[in-house]
Amino acid sequence: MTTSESFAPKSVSVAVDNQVCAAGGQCEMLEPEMFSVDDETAIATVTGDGKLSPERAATLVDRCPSGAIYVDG
Amino acid sequence: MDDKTGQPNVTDGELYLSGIPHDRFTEMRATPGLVWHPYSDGGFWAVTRHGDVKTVSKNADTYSSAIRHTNLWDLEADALDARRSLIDTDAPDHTRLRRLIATSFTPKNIRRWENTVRQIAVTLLDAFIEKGRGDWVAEVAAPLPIQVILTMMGVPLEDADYLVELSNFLVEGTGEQQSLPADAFGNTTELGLLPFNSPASHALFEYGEKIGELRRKDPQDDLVTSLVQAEEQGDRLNGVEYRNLFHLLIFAGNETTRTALSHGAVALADFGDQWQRVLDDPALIEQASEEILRWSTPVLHMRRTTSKPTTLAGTEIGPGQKVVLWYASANRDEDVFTAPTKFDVGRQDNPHVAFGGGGPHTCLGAFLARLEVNVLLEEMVKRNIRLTRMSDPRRTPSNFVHGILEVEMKVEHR
Repeated sequence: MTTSESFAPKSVSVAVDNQVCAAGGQCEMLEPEMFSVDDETAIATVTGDGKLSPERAATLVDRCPSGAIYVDG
Repeated sequence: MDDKTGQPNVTDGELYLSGIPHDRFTEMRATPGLVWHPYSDGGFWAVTRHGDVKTVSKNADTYSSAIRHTNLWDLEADALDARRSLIDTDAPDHTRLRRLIATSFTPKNIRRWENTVRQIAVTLLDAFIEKGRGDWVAEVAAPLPIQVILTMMGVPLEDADYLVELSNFLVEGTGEQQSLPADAFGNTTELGLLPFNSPASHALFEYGEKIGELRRKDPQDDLVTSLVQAEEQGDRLNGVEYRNLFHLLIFAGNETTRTALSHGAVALADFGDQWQRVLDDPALIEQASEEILRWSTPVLHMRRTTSKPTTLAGTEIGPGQKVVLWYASANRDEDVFTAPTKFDVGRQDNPHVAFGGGGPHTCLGAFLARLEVNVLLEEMVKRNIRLTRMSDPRRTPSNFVHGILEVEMKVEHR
């Protein structure tokens, strides 16, 4: 019998608050596959699936100069 | 020494002629709470620990950049208004100004300048190797960043020396004495209204107006054009903001990286074993660059002013008080860095605050600075050269910029 308990690493979703982002570019440097700063709006957008390990997500939140990145479930 | 406390006064620019007063900062880091440091107008809270520097940097609502000044001395409202730039604004003005310019400095857009940076670095380095010895600051560390930022901005490279000279006068303005008379460069503005209280700011403003005028008439694909176009679109950038942003890009775009490249060369010469590690394993270059940034800490401090009462490190801070972030101290915090007094090109975890402690005012040019340091190291490794220091560095008497004015280096092929 298998249990419903999972031992695989959980992932969380990250998102960008577009009111707060000031194009610091740290997210694009740390996760180039997942974030891109738009040249027109100067706002970072999530270009990948936005899924990261909780630890990596915490790093992204910590390093965002504007405080625009947050964990969104 | 300060008369009242008997402790070295870390705001005394002359003290920095023999290097950062690390012993005093080590004592302050070990003192529980925050240290109240005397200053001519009363004093400030000295924030010397890494964690506290980050906390203040990231809480811009409490620790404002727009109240009274981001340098140690207070400014009157008219002076503050005349100088307003990215540095001394809070949201929403700061966000508007930063977004105007930030896309030019994102990692992917900075990478587009790699060939330009490399060309400039190679030309300077090869000329230096050809000569065999000389002043590393004048021959390599100063011209590299100024030529790069001028190229990005669309400012003629012929004027690089003039603009470096103006930058040097601006740094002087952070110290106790200025060599320039108030009316230098035809200045008629009250010095208190000029950045760094320096008539050189007037000259830099005038230069910015001239090139701005040219780009208005004949737009190019460069930063100055994008700024004057934003100005013409009305609500995005006003005239005072344009000239202050121009001033900031020229100053911050050359003075800071120049300092990193100067201290970096001194460290790589003095700690030959560390340079040998990089030569043996070029994969260490990026780590070595980060260590050079930590080691050099080009900007020694920035100041914030509390907008409301708060508590930091258990110390209660009233509203309207000065809080000074000593990056030079945080970058040696023994609670964060293993063997912080060692220059270690292989340092694995290096959360230095050479670009600030996070938050909205994190250095705009961080990725450009990193690119410049990385590319110069790559070209030095390719040429398999070794630097030997032939003189003591002549340091800048400033509590704000950790500058080296001149250092004689000999270069050898191995």
